[in-house]
Amino acid sequence: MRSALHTLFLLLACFVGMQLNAQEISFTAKVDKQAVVTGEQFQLTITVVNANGRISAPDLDGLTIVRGPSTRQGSSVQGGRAVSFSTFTWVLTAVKARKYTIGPARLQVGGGIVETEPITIEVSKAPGTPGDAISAQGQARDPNIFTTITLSRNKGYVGEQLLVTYQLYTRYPNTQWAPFEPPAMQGFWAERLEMGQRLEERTEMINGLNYSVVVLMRQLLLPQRSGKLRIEPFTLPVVLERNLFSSGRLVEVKSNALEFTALELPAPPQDFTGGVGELQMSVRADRTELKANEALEITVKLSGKANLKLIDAPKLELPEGIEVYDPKVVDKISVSSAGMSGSREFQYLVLPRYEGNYTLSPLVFSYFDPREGKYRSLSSTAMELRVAAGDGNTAGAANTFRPNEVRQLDQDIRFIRTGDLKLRAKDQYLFASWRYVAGITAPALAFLLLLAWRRNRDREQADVVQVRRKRAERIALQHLKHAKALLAKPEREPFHTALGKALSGYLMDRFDLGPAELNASNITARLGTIPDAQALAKHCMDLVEACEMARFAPIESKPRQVLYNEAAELITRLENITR
Amino acid sequence: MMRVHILLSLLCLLAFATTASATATPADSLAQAAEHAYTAGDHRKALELYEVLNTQHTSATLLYNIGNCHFKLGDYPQAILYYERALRMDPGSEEVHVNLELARQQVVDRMKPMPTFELGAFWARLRSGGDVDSWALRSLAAGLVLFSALSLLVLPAFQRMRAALRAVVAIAGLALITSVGFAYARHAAIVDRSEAIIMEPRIEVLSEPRNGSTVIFVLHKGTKLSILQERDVWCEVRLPNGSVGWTRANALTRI
Repeated sequence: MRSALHTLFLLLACFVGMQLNAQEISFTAKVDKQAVVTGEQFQLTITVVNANGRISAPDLDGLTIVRGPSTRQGSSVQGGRAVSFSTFTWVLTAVKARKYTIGPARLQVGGGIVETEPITIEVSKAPGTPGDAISAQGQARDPNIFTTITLSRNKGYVGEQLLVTYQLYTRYPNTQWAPFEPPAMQGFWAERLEMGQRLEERTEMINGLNYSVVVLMRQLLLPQRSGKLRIEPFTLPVVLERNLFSSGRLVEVKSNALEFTALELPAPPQDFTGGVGELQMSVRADRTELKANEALEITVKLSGKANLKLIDAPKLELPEGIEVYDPKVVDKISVSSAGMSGSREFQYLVLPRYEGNYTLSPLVFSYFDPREGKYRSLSSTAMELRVAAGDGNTAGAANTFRPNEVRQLDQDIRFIRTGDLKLRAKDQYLFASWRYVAGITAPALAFLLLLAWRRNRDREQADVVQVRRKRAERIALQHLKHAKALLAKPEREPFHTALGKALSGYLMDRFDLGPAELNASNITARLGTIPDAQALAKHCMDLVEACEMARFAPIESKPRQVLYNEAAELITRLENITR
Repeated sequence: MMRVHILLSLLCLLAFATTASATATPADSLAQAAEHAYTAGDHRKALELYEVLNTQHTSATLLYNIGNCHFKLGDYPQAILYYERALRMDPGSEEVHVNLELARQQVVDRMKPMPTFELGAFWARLRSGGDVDSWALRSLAAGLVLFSALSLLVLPAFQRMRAALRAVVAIAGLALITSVGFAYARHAAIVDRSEAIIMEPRIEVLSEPRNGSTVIFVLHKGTKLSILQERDVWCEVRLPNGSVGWTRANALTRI
């Protein structure tokens, strides 16, 4: 930069055509202000009085020449003497805040050299000088012409609008440039601002130099992703110094590059559809009473200053059975240097398929307010929808929107059943009725009664045998007692009769036999499984026969006492066996 | 004793037979008039006549015919209701199944029904071989045979036929258990009122029996639901696909 400024300095050789006056030569340098701020202009004036010679310009110590030098010559008569003078004036400015020392200017006059006094200029920092920010890269090549890209801000949220301005700075009086083509924007959505018919032109002073500034284009930028977004420099072909005699020279002027920091939006709510800025919402329906399968239009209007063109349609939450088609978007958006503003309308075609009363829940729409740095949410009011039955039944409508389900057209239900309807009284079934219960329990009861009767009879029969058997011993003992009494009597016959009765009666009762059944084999059978059943039975029968025989036999084959003892012993033995 | 018991059973059968035949005569003319109206295409009149019949009487055929009238008049939920009622009484009827399927095609809601248990389907087919009364009669007959055979088995005079009688007892016992079981199942199916048809054009099935709770499903008229319980004006319902929720009871008509 410094070296660049150095090249600006013109070594000035100036011949002052003036008569050398022997007396009163003066050669002075002075400034109009000695304390300035950066960018402020001040004048350096070198005055030569009554001298004629070669002046070499002073060392400006890095000060920038805005204009100059301009010369003025004149003469006057002072005190009867002619005085001639020349002034050389520079308009200077300082870029940096520091102390500058303007070196001595030299005047060769006659054989000697006259010098001016050095001047110190105190330069302090100007509050907010824009000139510093513009690092004119183009100046590296030619400080008299450069282009810039400037952003209205260099930091912002994704979707937050910003303005980019492309400008051409030139000090050449006749500058022509090719149609401007803005550089490709990576990570931005860009919209070109309409420019007026006339060129937007102004004069601006940078680093003490007056530039003519032309706005090439303005664009509205909407950052599309977060992070560092780089804006690439553009190159503008410019033709300089074209005039009547020259076709000029073509210069490619390259602009600066910029970096923009796009801040990520915080975690968005569910109903966020990309709106960033300031928004209002209104929701309306063209009608709320209609028939099934008729359409109504619900319009959601978003207006305000925001990235309207990038807002997606909010999702319309409708009850089941209402169809909604993708909305038609109607934009009334203007893009100016103030940003994007206007309104965007989403027109939803809504088709209730079935009759009924529906409540459309309020539409909630969220957008991001970059000034507050948070989401704001807008809500409409709930809407009531009355849907009457449509023309044609709803089921038919159901078929129209289910194209995959092919139905046979000539299908119909089967005919009614004719003739006997097999009617019956309502809710009177045999099952679980008292008749059914009776019908199912009666045979069971009858069976149980039969079973009980049979059991009872069996028991009764069993009892007869038992009684007889219990009685057998008692009766036998009575008969034996009677026989014992007769033992002492001389007649044999009554004794044998009594003993025989006792014995045979006992056996019949004991074994449940009739008089005809009293024989050895039956007794054996009744005795069952005892070891010497056969022998015992034979013994019983032998004794019975012996008593029978003795009644009629003339002589006693066995003494009566022996016979009695044997009978008593047998009865005791049988009682013991079968108890 | 045995004679008494056979007599008793016969008496029961006779009593049933008389009640069954007694109803036929006065309703016949109504049924014929309805049949004529339906054939002539006057479904509304036919429906009125059949409904008069249905106030006192019922049968699978009558319910089927009423269902047909509703179908022809375009009232598909009612048609489905009556076809379902007909199926309750006669699960095997092909006509009812065909017409019910057609009526269901007019219903908006489509749901994948839960798979039926294979064995269950087998039993359903077996027990559809007769209505509740014929199964009840069969069970009565089986009971009669069973207890007669048992009685004979007890009597000494039939001791020589023991083996044959035992076989009869076994078969009759099995027949009794099966027929009582089927009669019970069929009767339970008829008196079961746990299923319902949606009669309103559109109902919301909520997660809780409270206005404004989460809407789980939206259903439309004609869809069949199972009612699990009732609380005030709310019903807990189970959808054919197994989902459960609450809805207003007055939107449903029990089958």
